[in-house]
Amino acid sequence: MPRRKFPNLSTRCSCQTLLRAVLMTGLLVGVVGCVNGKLPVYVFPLPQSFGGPPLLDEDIRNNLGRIGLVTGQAPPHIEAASPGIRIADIPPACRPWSTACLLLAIDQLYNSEYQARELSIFSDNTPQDHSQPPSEFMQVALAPLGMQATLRDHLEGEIRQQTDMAVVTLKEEGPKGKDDKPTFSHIRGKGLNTILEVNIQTLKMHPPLGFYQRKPWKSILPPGPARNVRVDVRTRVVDVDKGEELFFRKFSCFSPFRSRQEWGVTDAEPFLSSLNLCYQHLSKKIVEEIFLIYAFPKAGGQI
Amino acid sequence: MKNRKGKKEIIGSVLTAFLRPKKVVSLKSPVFFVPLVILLHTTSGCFFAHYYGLEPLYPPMPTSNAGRARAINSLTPTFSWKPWDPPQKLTHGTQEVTYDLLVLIEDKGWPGEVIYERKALSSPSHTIEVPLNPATTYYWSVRARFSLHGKTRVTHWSGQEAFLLSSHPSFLFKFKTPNDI
Repeated sequence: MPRRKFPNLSTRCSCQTLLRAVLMTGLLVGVVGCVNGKLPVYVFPLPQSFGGPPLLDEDIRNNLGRIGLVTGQAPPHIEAASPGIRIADIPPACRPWSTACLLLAIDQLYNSEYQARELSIFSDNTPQDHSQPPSEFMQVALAPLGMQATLRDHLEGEIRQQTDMAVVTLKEEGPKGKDDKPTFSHIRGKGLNTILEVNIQTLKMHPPLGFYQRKPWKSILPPGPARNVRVDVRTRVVDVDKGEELFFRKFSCFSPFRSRQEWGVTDAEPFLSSLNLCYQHLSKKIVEEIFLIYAFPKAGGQI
Repeated sequence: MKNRKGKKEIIGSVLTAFLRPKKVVSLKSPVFFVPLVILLHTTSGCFFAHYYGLEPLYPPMPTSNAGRARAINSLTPTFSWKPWDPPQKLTHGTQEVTYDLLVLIEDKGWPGEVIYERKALSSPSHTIEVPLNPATTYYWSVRARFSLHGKTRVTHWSGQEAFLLSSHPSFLFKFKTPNDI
């Protein structure tokens, strides 16, 4: 009989062992819960974050002064099928940009890495040409949507409507890439005290994972494969004079799950309206969290 | 190599100590008690609906299975919620408390467009002025709005959460209108 590595470990399944296993799972789940507290905030109308960094202190809020609003200068990173369509292969209907081009872009979004991974399991015909970065076509195809600027406009409107803050839009300023974090030191002394920076980092389509596959959530899924639109936005508040980051939070906005066909109907109207709803919800949520929500400690259910 | 063996031994002895302890450990011991509390806390959302923000009175919140729509019997329901008393530390700076109400239509199991919104309601109830569609699921939420040292402040939108253990979204309160009146 081979020597066991851990002679004291038994394969017998007693109640005590089961109890210990359950308790170990509890501990693990608790740890996972804590880790998830650092995940992005799910956006209004999903109303509350699970933990995350604290809201701005009231003293800081009252001294934000004149605010400069900036957005990302680069288009968001788009997770799409890999390899994507090469620029040279863009169909004529796509030049100049048209609905046909948008539909093709939705195809690429829809068939993102998840689908590609599934395909590679079942088939050996996965194209291997990686010469073209997958997102290049997507950047071209989705550029007319002007995602960063549209979010900025929504946000500016929301700030003016909900607060009495003095806001100036700085169209030429902002992070140059997904992870760029400018300090805005070059605009020091130009009459702005604070910068509110929003940067759409990612646009992607997600398959239903985890609990969506179980009852009762499964009932909201259309038959067959489905994806939802997800927009991830990084928000920072920067003190221009001190060059200090006062607030940092990631917000994610989701749409309902739809099949590929549903996303494309009536000239991709569901796709466009989902993005539009995301801009509205994101701007509402960002303004609320930065300027309006009083940070009560979360204790039990009631405030 | 020697070091590696040492690590294995340590891991083995830790596993052995936990899974087959030589002494009987009491259930009151922190070894069991702490994970038990965490387990109950994290899974309680599966059995009991938690809410945060203002407590809804009508349409009521489901007592379990958060996310299930509560059936109501009117197309022009009167929403009501427990009034909010500002915490004592705020009362010196807080003046009048008003409420914001929000109703959203469901779109494929997901909160969609905001179809009804009222701000600064003076009482903790409001009858919807535009009839809702029959046999339709809606989401609603409410929050308190108050003035603190001359600045507008709000509470979080109220809602409920079904699970605390992972990155699941939390939910606005959900209700379904009757088929026919």
